[in-house]
Amino acid sequence: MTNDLDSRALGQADCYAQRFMRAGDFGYAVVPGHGQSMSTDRPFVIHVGQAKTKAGEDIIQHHVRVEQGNGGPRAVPATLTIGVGDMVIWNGTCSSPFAVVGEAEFFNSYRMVNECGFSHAFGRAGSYEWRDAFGSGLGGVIHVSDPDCQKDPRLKKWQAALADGSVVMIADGKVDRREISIMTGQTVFFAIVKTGGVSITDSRFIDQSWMHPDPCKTKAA
Amino acid sequence: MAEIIAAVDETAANSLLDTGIALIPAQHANGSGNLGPFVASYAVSATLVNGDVDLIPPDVIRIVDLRVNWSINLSFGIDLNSFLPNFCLPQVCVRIPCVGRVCTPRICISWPTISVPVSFSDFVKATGDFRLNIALVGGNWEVSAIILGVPNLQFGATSALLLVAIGAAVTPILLLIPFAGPFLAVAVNAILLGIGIAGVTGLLGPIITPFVSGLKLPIYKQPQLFEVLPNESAIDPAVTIVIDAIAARIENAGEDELVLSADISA
Repeated sequence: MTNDLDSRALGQADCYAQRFMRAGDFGYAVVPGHGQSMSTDRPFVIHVGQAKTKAGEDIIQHHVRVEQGNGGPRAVPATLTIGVGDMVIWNGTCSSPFAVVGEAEFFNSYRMVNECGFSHAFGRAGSYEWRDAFGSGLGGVIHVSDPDCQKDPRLKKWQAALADGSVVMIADGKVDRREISIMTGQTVFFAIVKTGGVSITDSRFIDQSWMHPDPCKTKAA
Repeated sequence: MAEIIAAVDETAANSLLDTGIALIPAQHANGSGNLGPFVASYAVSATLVNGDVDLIPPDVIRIVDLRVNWSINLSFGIDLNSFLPNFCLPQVCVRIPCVGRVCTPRICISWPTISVPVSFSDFVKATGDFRLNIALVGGNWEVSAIILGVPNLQFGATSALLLVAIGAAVTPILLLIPFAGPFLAVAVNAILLGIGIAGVTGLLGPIITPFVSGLKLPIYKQPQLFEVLPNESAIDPAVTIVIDAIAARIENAGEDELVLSADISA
């Protein structure tokens, strides 16, 4: 499995979360990672109806699994009915990275806009400097260290600690925690309140621009 | 009675076999074999270095501490699911201001199969008894020493070192596997215990032993028909002789000697 920190291509240890703040039908596709322009079909739908929660209550959360189908990744269930204000979380069980691409501009894991989030469980020790690949200047560092698990009780303690997540809030062009230290296997949830469209991307992938060149930026000879 | 007799003592025999063994080129082999619970593919090369020669009448040359320098490149696959516990990231819940509690699903990880390459060099010593062998091959008399039986190669210390090398090779690979880091010590220990000294010896024995068993050391080679005096003139032609028979044996005439004797005719 891959465990790259890049919200544009969701791996097995990643989740994309999106809140739906108004009623309507929101079609979307699940495409291979970085393939957001590959398909204009929107075979999957989120039906958003009347709100089911009252002010002050926790939101209702729904889970969509992304599996490997014959024709590429597919969402299960393909159709989901929720209430206004609910949150849907997508997570992949297939080994290949994917992206969730909606018709509406706000609904896109490749470029997250508002009322959404991205979680990543860090599988390897190291320091991860993340940046927004779309150039907003947002960024931060996650320090990940391996626990000392030579002895069984420490291993159990570490496994219990995996349920403790960290939150990074991104709103109004700011990041509330620019530096976080966690243990291997722990999860960081990047909550995006309102932006012009951002990604959470390991800066090493941004520097490797040859990996995903933008054909629209290719200059004529 | 033989017309030509040559004899060398143990010191000279040592020198003779040094030269003979040095002439044997590096030997190579590749294939696959069991490394404990794994199937390893290997490529191995070996060279021989002479030991101490002991001449034993009537026809045995014993080489004590005959050394086999060998170098092996191993590669084997490990399905980590057999060595690491099932692992799932638990549901993680965080509280987000103005939103409330948000939880990720439980995510279970399937461990991959990794390929481990290991390079290792060492030597092993053996004591081998060789019997003298004489043959006329393609018009040449050849005297050689052919090893008797299959020497027992002792890989005890080598096996431990190779296990260490395997551990060193596995570690950086495991560190690249997401979420395996905390299980590193557990995984390496389990893999090395799974292989064990017996697993390493079980692999090395059948690979290295053939380089020694069936070993044939060249001692002497001479054309059956050869010129002893060159052609000097029309009335003084070249003189050639024929070696009709050669015998080789170990004799004790005060000290042990390797004796070669030849019957010749013009």
